[in-house]
Amino acid sequence: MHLSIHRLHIAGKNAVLAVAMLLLPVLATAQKNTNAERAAALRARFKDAKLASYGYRSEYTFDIRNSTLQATLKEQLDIISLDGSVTYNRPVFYNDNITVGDTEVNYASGKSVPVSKTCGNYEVEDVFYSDAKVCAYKFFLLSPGTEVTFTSRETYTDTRYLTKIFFHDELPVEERTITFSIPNSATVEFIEKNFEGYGITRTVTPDGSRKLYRYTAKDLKAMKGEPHSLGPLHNYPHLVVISKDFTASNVKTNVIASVDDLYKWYASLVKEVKNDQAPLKAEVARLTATAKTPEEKIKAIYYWVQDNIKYIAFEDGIAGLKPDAAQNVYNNRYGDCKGMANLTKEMLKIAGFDARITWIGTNRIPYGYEVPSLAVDNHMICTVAVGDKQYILDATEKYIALGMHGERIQGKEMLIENGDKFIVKKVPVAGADQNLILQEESLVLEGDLLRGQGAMTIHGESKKNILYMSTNIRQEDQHKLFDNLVVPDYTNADQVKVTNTPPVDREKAMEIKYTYGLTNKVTRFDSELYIDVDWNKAFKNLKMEDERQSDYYFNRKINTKVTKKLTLPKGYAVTHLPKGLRKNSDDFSILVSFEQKGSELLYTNQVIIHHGRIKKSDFATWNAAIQELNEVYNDQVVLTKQN
Amino acid sequence: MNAILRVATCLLICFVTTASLLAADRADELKQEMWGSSDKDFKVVAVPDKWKDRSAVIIARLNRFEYRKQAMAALLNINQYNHYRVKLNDKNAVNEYAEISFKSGDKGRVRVYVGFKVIKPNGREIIVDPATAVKMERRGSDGYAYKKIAIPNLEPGDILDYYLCEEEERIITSLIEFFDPIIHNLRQEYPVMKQKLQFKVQRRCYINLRSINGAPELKLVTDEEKDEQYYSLEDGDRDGIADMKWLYPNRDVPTVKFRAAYASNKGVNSYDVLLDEQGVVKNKVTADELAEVSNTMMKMVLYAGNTANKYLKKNYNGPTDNFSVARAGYYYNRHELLNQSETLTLQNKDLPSEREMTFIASFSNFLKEEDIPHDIVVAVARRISSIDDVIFESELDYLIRVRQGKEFLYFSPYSIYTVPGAIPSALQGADAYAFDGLTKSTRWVPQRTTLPALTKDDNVSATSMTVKLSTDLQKATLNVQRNIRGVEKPYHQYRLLDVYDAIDEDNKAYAPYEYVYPHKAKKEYTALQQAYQQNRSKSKTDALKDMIADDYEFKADDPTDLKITQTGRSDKDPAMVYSFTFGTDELVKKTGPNYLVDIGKLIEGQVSIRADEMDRDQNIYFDNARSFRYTVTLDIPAGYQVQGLDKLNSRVENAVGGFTSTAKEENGKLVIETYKHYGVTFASKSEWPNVVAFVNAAHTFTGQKILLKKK
Repeated sequence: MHLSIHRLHIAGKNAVLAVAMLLLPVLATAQKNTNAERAAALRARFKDAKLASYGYRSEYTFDIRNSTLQATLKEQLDIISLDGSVTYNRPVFYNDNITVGDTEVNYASGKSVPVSKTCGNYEVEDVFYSDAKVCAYKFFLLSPGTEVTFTSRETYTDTRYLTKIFFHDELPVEERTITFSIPNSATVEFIEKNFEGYGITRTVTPDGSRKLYRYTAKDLKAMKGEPHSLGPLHNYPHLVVISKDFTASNVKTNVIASVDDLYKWYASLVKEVKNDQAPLKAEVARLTATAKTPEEKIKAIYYWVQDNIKYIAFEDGIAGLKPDAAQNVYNNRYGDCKGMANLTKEMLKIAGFDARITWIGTNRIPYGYEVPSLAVDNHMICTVAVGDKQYILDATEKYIALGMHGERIQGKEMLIENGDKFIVKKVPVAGADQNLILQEESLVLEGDLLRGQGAMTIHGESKKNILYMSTNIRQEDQHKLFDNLVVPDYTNADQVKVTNTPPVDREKAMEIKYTYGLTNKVTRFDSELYIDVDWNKAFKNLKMEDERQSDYYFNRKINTKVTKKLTLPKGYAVTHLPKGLRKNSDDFSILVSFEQKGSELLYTNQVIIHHGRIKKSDFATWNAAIQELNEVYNDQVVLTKQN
Repeated sequence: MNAILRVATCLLICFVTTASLLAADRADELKQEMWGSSDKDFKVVAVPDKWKDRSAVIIARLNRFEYRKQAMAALLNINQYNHYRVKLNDKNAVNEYAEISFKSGDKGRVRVYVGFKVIKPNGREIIVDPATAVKMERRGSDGYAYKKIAIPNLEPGDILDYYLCEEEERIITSLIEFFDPIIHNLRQEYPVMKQKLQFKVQRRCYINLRSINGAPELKLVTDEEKDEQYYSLEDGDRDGIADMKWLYPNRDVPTVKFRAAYASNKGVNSYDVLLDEQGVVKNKVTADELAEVSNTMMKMVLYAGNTANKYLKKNYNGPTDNFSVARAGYYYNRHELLNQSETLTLQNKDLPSEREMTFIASFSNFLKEEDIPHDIVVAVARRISSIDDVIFESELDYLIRVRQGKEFLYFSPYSIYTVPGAIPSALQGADAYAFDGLTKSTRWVPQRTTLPALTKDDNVSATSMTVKLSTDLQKATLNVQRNIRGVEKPYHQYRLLDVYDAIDEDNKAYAPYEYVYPHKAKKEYTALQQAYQQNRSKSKTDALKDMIADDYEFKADDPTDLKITQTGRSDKDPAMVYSFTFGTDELVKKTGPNYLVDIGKLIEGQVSIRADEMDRDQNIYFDNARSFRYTVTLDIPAGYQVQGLDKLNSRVENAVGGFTSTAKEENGKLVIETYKHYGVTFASKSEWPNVVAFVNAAHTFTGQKILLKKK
């Protein structure tokens, strides 16, 4: 803990000047640069927005240069401030394949707006280093209704990297146009995604030796990330740009005209990897020495890579697509998905298996390989065939068992290497049962203390995640993790104890056994006891907001079942039981029941979310069910002392 | 290529080549110094059994700082050498150390030398190539760049031994140059087996250094081989320290604080700024030196005028006692902040507050002009230091106190909400020195004093709430009135008041305020004023909504009827008083024919002490003594009776604080009163059970329910 505290500036500063500077940020905004009527109209249309765009034009001009199909992009964003004193930071992203040209910010009068520019690496979550960069242009708009135009220019040095274009922007947009000027000597296609309901128009007009495609959309709200969303590709309208081919000097060159081209290019990158198996051989021999079956050998290698290769991603230029050599990943003990897939493949090859590099898009990408584009995949795994059986190995999924597949790739198409050809195949989809979390408890009352013992059995995605967390948390904090898992938010007056050490075994369900004594679940009122038997109250208040744009995604299919058996204290009778609930829809089912059987009260709570998501179209059904569920949770069991 | 160009090219290439070679030599030297030294502490591989279950253990660390002025050149050398040897016991530690960031060293005259090696349990050493570090660029107005490196082959059980060294050459631009102060706690996140702090200060450089809270003293060490001397602290066997509530680490954890400075002869002769002899440690600051440095800092204020004397002369007809006149001057100066405050408000910026020394100088001048006896008071925020442990000027804060007989009235730098008599929370109860403001500053005689500390009865947040239930009893409407006095008040003022509240209020005391528009921008600012006024009510409601979301642990509807009845901007009416209404459908839960009411949740969320916080090995520091009163009145619905009142009556009172709650039925209403107070600002660690007792009693109360039972 080093603490820096402010320094005395002996040289001093001109405080008066500093204040004067403070008071005069930008006074160049003459009245002629403002448009009160437009601001009022857009304020009414885009509630709570401080800025809006009344015209956002992206002009892509494709040209053949240096035997490559390139594209220049000129963007003009007409911005109006809907509030006073707004600071805006406009980012322009670029990388090794996109260069940034001149950028201007001008008032409506044409006079330039003072801008502070900062450029540098764009830090992406989970990526240690990449070539992604950003320039941020910061400017201040004093008067409400100030109009400025932000103009930027970029060049895509190879249009295979120009893959997706969204209509929405981080600002709300009154009118959005995207134009493509394509020379007749090039074949470029546009796949329209999520256009329904947006009234997007498209025109195609000849323009000399070119064709001009123009897409126009109106009244677009600000694009925003939403928690528990599969990402913008699932619901925001966008174009997937397919640069198929071009002809120059009578020679036709394919860019990516089909999935064959995509595969050929991917395969050529993999071919360039200089794998050296020598450093891996001893390790493979050690790992497989005691394995009796092919499956055991695969497991030994697959699990070793999972456990020993830390995920650190370098995605610098072509390294974003080309795996690091297996021996580097092995020696470094770190790598990204490509590095891990390649290492797994090489180790399996040493062990005598037919292992293949496999490309795949996770569920954030709603396309299959019918779309021949770099946009279709974002992940690499390894597949291996043993006889008729195919194993899908994703070593970035820590603590996953062989034969199980991460939720994010289930149902997704794989592009499997196969020499000059390729195989497209889907990852099997598991049902919600695979993710079952079962919690069974027996409860007794000791005065006002609720004492219980229970067992929690966790399968699937949650088990995988808990194993990862429990092995990556500080070892001195591990017991806290399990204690809080079995009884969340317990107080220091409560006693919670996990009585076993859950083994780190990815092939078996995780079983946690525990006991507890809880002080605040029973409330005594005269001769009555009010008992809150379910303090987890799963999904309580989880209502979907009306303004939510995307489906709600739980990151996994859900099947949780809680059963509790409360032994009724002697001398007490059940005088009230909550009514329970049973709801079923295509997306989910909820069952909550309270039942007295002799001297025992049985409580069951089972929630299944079959596909791990609630579709936006089902929000009303879901919210109605949650409202009823809330009422059940608010209710309590009442026991009354008998005379 | 002509000859001149050839020579120039040769010179350039030769220079670059030479510079690169020198850097490479230096890198080798440092590598040898860090990894090849005979320091046995950096050879250790085993950690004590008591720490084998810890995530990581720092086997050894060295932090060495060097400062010197170059001979015959206006350049300073500022070097630091940091060496760490860490045992990684689990994956968490591996994740923590697998990626290390450091200064890029390519900006200005800074060179950075790094080295990383992994030592496997079998003793095999793997040296990481520093060239594998990647540079994270930032260019532009707020640019900074750094490098980061991924440490390969790192596994639990390994030792990571690494160093990060910086050697900077800085051009001297002022008579005195202070380097960043360092306050180093000897207990940190992970346990430490051995740690060394070294400071070498040479040639026109000065060192202020003090070990506090039981930290060992630094010793002067002579390195005969290198013919140099440096100050060194060797320490070890320190357990790690967890994040802890109510801890002032710089007051409680063994700590070394340090600050080096460069000063030219002219600088030393012209300014008294707590410097001793060149190269000799200054570890004690006397009261006289505090007077001298305070005098220096006041002299550096460029503009210390104010218009209050003139205003008062013309307009003031009130009492002429010292306090009254000082108050009037203070309020007038505060009033003068309105224009700047309005401009900043319209620019969507924070309200201004007067710079501390500017305030001291200008308000002292005002008082002098009025011939009012007063003191300049110098103190240190409690969380930073005791006044007796001060060693550098940036630890100091200043106030003015006006004297009237034996009484004092304190004044702190203005904002549009501050009032006479208010002492910043961080300084309350602190020891201080006072200097007579009417005496010439060179003749100041320091007087030891202790600043008043507001008590729990001064710092009172009182909330009165009435609760009405809808006819189906499912919805509660809560009308809340808050009366906030003392340290909590600024939080409420800054959230719910704005400059226009202050303008409205000041218009009753002064000539009507007229905004002086920024030069040539009247139209723009008029538009901004209109836009602000259009949004003003909504902004306040939104702020209140956020406060409610922070305060209550149930979902609340949007508040309505915010009414500010007293702003708290006057020392005559010091409380901020306001009221509002909001609804919730999460307070009452239907249970069979009856209704459970989460009545405990109405006293807002209360901090709790968790099971893993029960053991405490550090003393307890509260920012203030303070108290919180709640009165909740629930209209009992007709046809229902209330059960469960017995659990609402509780009392925990001890030497540190307390929590009391009472509940009674009166005229068809349930009236609940709670009172929580923190009675002290400091408690020894042995008092921790007392803190736990009353803090958790309040938290337990928030879980209490009552039953509305059908009669």
